[in-house]
Formats: sequence, C-alpha cells, structure tokens
Amino acid sequence: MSRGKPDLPQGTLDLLVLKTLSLGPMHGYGIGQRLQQIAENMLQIEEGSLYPALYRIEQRGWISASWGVSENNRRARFYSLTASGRKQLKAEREQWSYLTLAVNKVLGA
Amino acid sequence: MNFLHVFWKRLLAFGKSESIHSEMDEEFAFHIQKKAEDLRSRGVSEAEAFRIASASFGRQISLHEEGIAARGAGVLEDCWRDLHFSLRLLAKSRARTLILVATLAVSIAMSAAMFGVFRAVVLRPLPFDDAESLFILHQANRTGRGGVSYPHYRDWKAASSAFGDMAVFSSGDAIVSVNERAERLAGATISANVFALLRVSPLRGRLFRPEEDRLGGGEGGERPVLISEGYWRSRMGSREDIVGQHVSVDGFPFRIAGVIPSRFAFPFASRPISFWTTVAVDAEPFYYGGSIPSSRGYPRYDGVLARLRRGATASAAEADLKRIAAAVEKANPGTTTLNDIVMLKALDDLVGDTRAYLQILYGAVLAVLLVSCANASTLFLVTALSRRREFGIRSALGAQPSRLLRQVLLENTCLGLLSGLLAIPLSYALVTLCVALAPPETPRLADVRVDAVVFLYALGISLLTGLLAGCLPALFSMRRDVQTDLRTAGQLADGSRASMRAGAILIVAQIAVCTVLACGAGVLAQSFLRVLNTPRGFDPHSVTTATIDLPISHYPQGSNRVRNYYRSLIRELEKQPGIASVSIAERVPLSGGMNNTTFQIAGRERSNLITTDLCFVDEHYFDTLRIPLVSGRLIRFSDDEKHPPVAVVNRAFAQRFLSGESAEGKFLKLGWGGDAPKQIVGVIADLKNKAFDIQAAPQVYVPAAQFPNNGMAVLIRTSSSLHDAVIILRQAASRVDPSVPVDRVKTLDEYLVLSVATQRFLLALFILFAGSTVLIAAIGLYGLLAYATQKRYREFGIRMALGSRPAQLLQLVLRQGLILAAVGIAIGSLLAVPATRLMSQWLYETRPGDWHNLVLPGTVLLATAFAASFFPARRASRVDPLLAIRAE
Repeated sequence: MSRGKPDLPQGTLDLLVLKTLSLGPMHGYGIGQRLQQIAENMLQIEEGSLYPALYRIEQRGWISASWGVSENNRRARFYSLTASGRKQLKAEREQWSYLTLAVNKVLGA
Repeated sequence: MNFLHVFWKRLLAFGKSESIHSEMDEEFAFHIQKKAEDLRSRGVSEAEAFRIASASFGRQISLHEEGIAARGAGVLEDCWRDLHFSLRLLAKSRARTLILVATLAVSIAMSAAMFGVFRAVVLRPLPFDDAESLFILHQANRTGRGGVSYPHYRDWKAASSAFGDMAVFSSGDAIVSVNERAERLAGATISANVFALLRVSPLRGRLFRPEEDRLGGGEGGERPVLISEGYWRSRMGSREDIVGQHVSVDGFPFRIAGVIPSRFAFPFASRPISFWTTVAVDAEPFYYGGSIPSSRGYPRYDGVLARLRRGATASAAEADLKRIAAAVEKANPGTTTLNDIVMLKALDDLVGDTRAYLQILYGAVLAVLLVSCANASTLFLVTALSRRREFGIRSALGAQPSRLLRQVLLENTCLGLLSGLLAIPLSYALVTLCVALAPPETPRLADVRVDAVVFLYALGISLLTGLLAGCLPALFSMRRDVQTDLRTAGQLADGSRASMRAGAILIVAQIAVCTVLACGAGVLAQSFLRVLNTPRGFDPHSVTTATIDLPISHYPQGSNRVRNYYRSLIRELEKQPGIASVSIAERVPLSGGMNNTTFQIAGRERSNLITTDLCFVDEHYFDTLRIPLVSGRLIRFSDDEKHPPVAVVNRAFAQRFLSGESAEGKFLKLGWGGDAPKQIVGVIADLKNKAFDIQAAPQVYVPAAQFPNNGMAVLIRTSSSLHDAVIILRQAASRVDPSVPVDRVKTLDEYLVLSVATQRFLLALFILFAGSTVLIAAIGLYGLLAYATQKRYREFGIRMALGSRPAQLLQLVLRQGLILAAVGIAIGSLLAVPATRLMSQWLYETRPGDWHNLVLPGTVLLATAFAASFFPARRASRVDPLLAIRAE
C-alpha cells in the first residue's frame, strides 16, 4: 500500500482477488486496476503482494490460469474463478461479515 | 481434499521450474508494458513511464522465489536435487561406496532369503476356510505323542462336545499304476468326511460319501479313490472324463471319484499327496486280518483332524478332551500306553518343530543385518566427519539444519535402496541355497520362493537400514559449531571426538554380536562332529540299502510267498561278485523309521506302560552291519516257521528288564510280532537307531522268517559304488519278480547325514552368518582405524620427530584395534552363554556354557581384528615426519 493508506491483511487480499475475478476473467495487471477502480482509489495493491497472492490462490485451485491474447494483441496470462473458487468466495464473504460485525460490536461498546 | 490437490499440482510441476520462471518473466513483462502504456497515456514520457513501471515491481528475484515456492514442485524438487548431489558424491568415492553397498546388499539378501523361507514354511496360514478352528489330536503320554487308533477316534468323536466334526488321516506311500506305468507316490488314507470338514470343493467329480468308509461301501462295490490336481494334469493329461477311470493302488483296482485342487492337498508334507483312499482299505481282510478298525493298541493313523464348534474355546475343548481321555482309559484298561490326548492347532502340528529352529535362524540373520547397519553407520560417521567443512560452509551461507539433515538422511537412504536393489538377485541365489540345504522333511519346502512380498520386504529393510544407519551421523552433523567446523578441517576437535567415540562403541557392539554368532557356529560344529564320529554300535560304511514293498494283492500278508520272495532275492544277491554280505530288515537304522511294542517277560507281571523297540531281521543282519554278539547266539537260518519262535535282545534290554540275570532261555511275549512266546537266544551289543540317542534303547529282534513283512529293507555290504550297487539290486530283483520295484537306494552314510539334516542346516547357515559378520566387522574396524590414523597424521609426525620409533607407533594403533576387539569379544562371550543355550535342543553332548566353546571363536576374532588393525598401524609407522608436519 502507498504511504497513508492502511495495509491489507493477507487473507483479505485473497478475498478481494476472488471477488474481482467473479466479475469476469482478467490478467494480473487488469485485476490490480479493477480493484483500484471499484475501491475508488481507497486501495492500492502492490505488484509484490498481488502476484504471490495470485499464485497461492491458483495453487489452491480457486482460480485457474491460461495464456490468452489481451485487448492490445499481446500474450497475457488470464485468471478466472473456478467452481470451488466460487464456493470459497461465498465462504470467505460470510467469514468477513461475521468478523467485522464482531469487531464493530466490541468497538461500539 | 485440498491437500491432495496441492500435492498433485506440485507433482505435475516437477522438473518444470525453468518453464515456470520464464512464464513469470513473460507475465511480469506484460504487466510492466501495460503499466508503462497507461502512464504514457497520462502524459508521462516513455523513458520515465518505463522506469516507474519497472520500479513498481521491486525485487523480481524475490518475486520469482515466492512464485516458485507457490507454484513449483517445492520439497519434491529439493529432494531430487539433494539426491542428485548425493549420487555424485557416492560416485566420487567409489571404493567406499562399493564396499558399503556390497556388505549391506549381502546382509539384506540373507535376511530377505530367510524371511522368504520363514514365511512360506511357518507364517503362511493353512489355505482352508476358517483355518484357525482346525486342530489335530494325537494320543500321547508323558514321553511324547503318537498317532491315533481307530477305536480311540470313534470314542473321541462320539464323546466330544467342543468339536463339531472329526476325521482321521494318515499318509503313506503306495505303488500307483495306470496304463502299465507304475510308480511310488505319496498318498493318504482318510475318513470320508475329511474334505467336507475342510470345506474343500473338488475340481471334478465329488468327494467321498460317508458310506464309503465301510468295506464294500463304494459305488457299484468298487473301491473309490480321489486324485490330486497335480496327478490329474501330469499323469492323466487333464482329461475331462477323469471321473470313472481306474487306477491300481498296490495292485488293487480303484475307481476315480473326484479330483482335489493342489493347494488343498491335505495332509501337507514335504512331498505333495497324489491320491486319497478311505479308511475302508484298512478294514480289508488281508490287512492284518482286518483287525485295524478294532485294534486299540495300534495307533495306525497320524492324527485326528477336528474342527472346533462355533463359539467353543480351545481351553474348553482341552478340558473336554482330558475328561474323554480319562473315560476311555477307564473303559479300556491296559490296551495302550498312550492314554492322554494332546491337541494342537493344525498349523502348529505341521510347522511347530520347524518353527523352533527357523526362529533361531531368523534371529541370527537379523543380528547380521544389525551388524551390517552398525557398520554402515560407522562408515557414514567417518565420512560425515570429513565433510564437516562442507556443512560448515553451507550453514554459514544460510542452509537450514533441517535441509542438511534431510540431505544426509537422503544420501544414506539412497545407499540403502541401492543395496536393496543389488540384494534382490542375490536373495534368489540364497533362497535356492537354503532350500537345497534344508532338511528334506521340512513342510511346504516346495512353496518357498522369492515373490512380491519378499521383494517388498527386501526394499523395506533396505530403506530402514539406510535410515537407521544414517540417523546417527545425521544427528551428529546437526549439533556442530560453525566456527570450529570451518577451522578444524584437519584436526580432531571435541565435536569429532564424540563421533569417534560413537564409532568405537558401534565397532565394539558389532564385534560382540559377531562373537555370539561365532560361538553359536562353534557349538553347532562341535556337536555335529561329535554326532558323526560317535560309535553307533554298527559299521555304517560301505553299506548300501534299498526298500522293497511287496503288494498285498500278489503277496498276502504273512504268507510263504513273502518269505520265498526275500529268500530268492538274497540268494540272487549273494551270487553277485563284490558283495560281502546281504541281509534284510524291517527298516534301516538311522532312517527315521521305528517300530515298538508292548511285551511281557514270562514269570513277570505284565505292564502295558513299557514298550521296546522292535525289528524284524534275517540271519545275516548282524553280520552285514558287524554288530558284535555279547552272549548266546545270533538268529540262524534254521529259525524259520517250522521251528520254535526265538528272539534276540540287545544289552540295553537285558540290563533294563532282566537286570543281572542271564537273558538266554527266558520267554518273551510280544504285543506285536507273533502271539507265541519267543525264547531269547542271544544278546547283542547296543546300537543306536536314532542319531541323537545318547544311550541305546532296548531292542528286540525277531527273525523275519517267523513273522514275514511285506515291506522290508535290503542291506548289502559292498565295495561297489552306489551306481553299481543300484544296478546289481535292480537286476537281482527283476530276476525274482520283475513287477516289484526297488526303491529309495541310499547308503547308510547318506542316512547318517540325513538324520542330522536339521543340525547340518543350522550349522551351514550359522557359519555363513558368523563368517559374514566377522568380515563386516573387520571392514568396519579397518575403516575406523584408518580414518583415526589419517587424522592423527600430524601428531604421529611430531612424535616421530621427537624420537618415537616406527614400531612404537605401530603398536599404538594395533593396541587401539585389539582393545576394541577384546572388549567386544568379552561382552559377546557373556551374551553367548544364554544365546547358545537356546539351541540346546539341537546340540549333542555339548554344554553351551563351557569355556572351551569360546576359545576357537575368540581366537579367530582376535586374529581378524589384528589383521584389520595391521594396515592402518603400518601406515602410521611409515609416517614421514617432515611431510606430516607440513601438510595441513
């Protein structure tokens, strides 16, 4: 994250990547851009965290990767959400809601 | 589930790390390009855009590392690389690797071969359904167990509540002929329900029916016979119309009722059973007058097969049998000396005796394996010491201890596996050797083979050995101080002293185990030689024997035809040149056969608890075997059916039962061998019928002419070779009656060796094991001393420069080696005493605790230790002080 914006815990990045890919397949650069767009620039993902996260999730089988042609006719590696990834996304979303609810409860007390 | 998925992915990525790296390069390059484009579209200059885009990626090296860690083969690839490295290292020190692999391979092969034998003979359960519920019952008394008589069987079957079904069985040879071709085969007499009890289904035809146990109960009045699958395929050509065919057994026609599958050919023995007849044959009138089914005194059958009722326990069954035995004895007093019932699990009955000594051999071979393992460990330790510098450097460069440990273990496991692979063809050879040396009567010997299970065992053992041998050096390689490792490449510092101490302890342990095995071999050898050289009371040399079995169909029991056959045979043989003496006897001494009977001395009280050995012989017997006469006279030609019945006893009989009084003139009534009382006419010297008898048993000899037997052994004393003797015998027999074959031609010397077959087997294997361990320990001792000497080179150089003589240095190193050996021998000797006692069952007049048992093995070991220490010692004495001090 750039200076001033808070750090994302590692597990949360996975969740965001899965969500981003649920909107459609994309290559690595595009994922970063899309995330930034949707978060209205409140988040900025560094390449140094993005790619390791992508590889990790790919290894777990939640996303699959294949080489394709980008919009500017160059070879790029495209990632897409798998069926088990969809399930994982749902599960992690629930976990996230639960966690934030709990934390807010404590903070609000 | 996810774990499996990840594992699978990693496996697929094996060897692909190059392509993964280039993929990442391409992916990152694309990312940088796109980012630069976006920046340019916002107005940044091309060069600046590219710089910013690249910088945002940061250290690509660590990204690559993380990427490979996530996507690559990970641990698998590391292991592979370590393996590669290990193999290259092993290839560099070829001599050491070769010796190590060879010694490990030999011991792995030996233990795999022994396992193969043990498994096939002892461990393998019987192939029958619910084999755990099958038991074999025998009549027995305090001295041992015997067979079972038919009336006893019927009583037990009727009275037993714990056993669901019972059957009798007995194996025996007979002449089977089909289409003019006759051969002697192993067969069995069984009650009709044996195979039904065993739940065996026939391959063709049917099993026996219950009524076929009665005389004349066969289909159409014919005698039924079952044949084995092996006989059906090899002698009957697997013909489909086999049921209903006829074969002749001992001259009588039988009708084939069914075929039994080979693996269920009960009872199991060393020779497979080819045919089965029912107990009806024993009721035939020409067979002891049809008295077998009612004779309580004749335990004709090998045993009773019984299946435990479902829900009954073995201990309840035993108690039940005790009760039955007591009841039977009470109801029939004085009919037999075997009044107890002994019950054994069917498998134990078959392999129990063999298991006892095979267990010892298996234990011994595991000891060899341990020695080999310890040896490998010592050599690994020594090597690890010389690689401490390498490990020190790697450690300093950041290698984790677990990684180094993994590499050491991998290297040693690798060696272990390599040895295992080499061991497999070697174990084939060893198994063949074992089978050739094993006592011929070992059950299921024909089933011993090196198969997949033995294969897996060998590989498993080699893996374990490698791991075990490697863990000690691995542990040592872990606890080290990097600084000291890097500095003390040439000297012995504290860390390596601990390793050397460990090495010394291992050597002492190896030598101790060696000593135990060597003592075992020594004790067995002594016992074996004693047995062979003990005077037996007769002269076994130059005597050739053969057996003849006259078929009852042409030679009715006890008839003149039997007498005349043997008389003619002897006459024919006496005519031949080169024959010093010919005789016939019911059995050959030392051949393992035996016959005994109850007896009553006239004027004395009758006792049914005492039996004596019995043998039917002709008038030449004592002459052929050169048994001296003590008093009275020997059996004469005139002691035939027209003259009063006589008998000759041996000295042991006279001393035991006629104490002091003169034996000649007394009358003896035998339970078997003729009803009329026999007058004792002479006493002969004792002879030992069984190889391991310490004392001769009491024996009675009855003239064969007064009680002819159909089956007799022919003994000829001749200087001819065995080959010529066979020809002479066969020709003579064919001149008397060409339809009677001459079987089992062997010299008495061969029987002598066969009678100690178990001891010979034990001795041969123990010599092999002891020899291997001595060699292995010697190699280990040499290796350890050689390394220690090399490391002390500098020290020796200084000593020499300061005035030590070469001889003193030689002594120094020699002393080291001999002290290690002496300690090992001392410990081993102490352990050898209880260890050799385990073998007392197979020892002859050799006390395991004797001191002089240890002398020879101890000397051999010390001499070997001397030889092993000599070469490093000599190198020490040849140190050039100038070179040594300078070299570092």
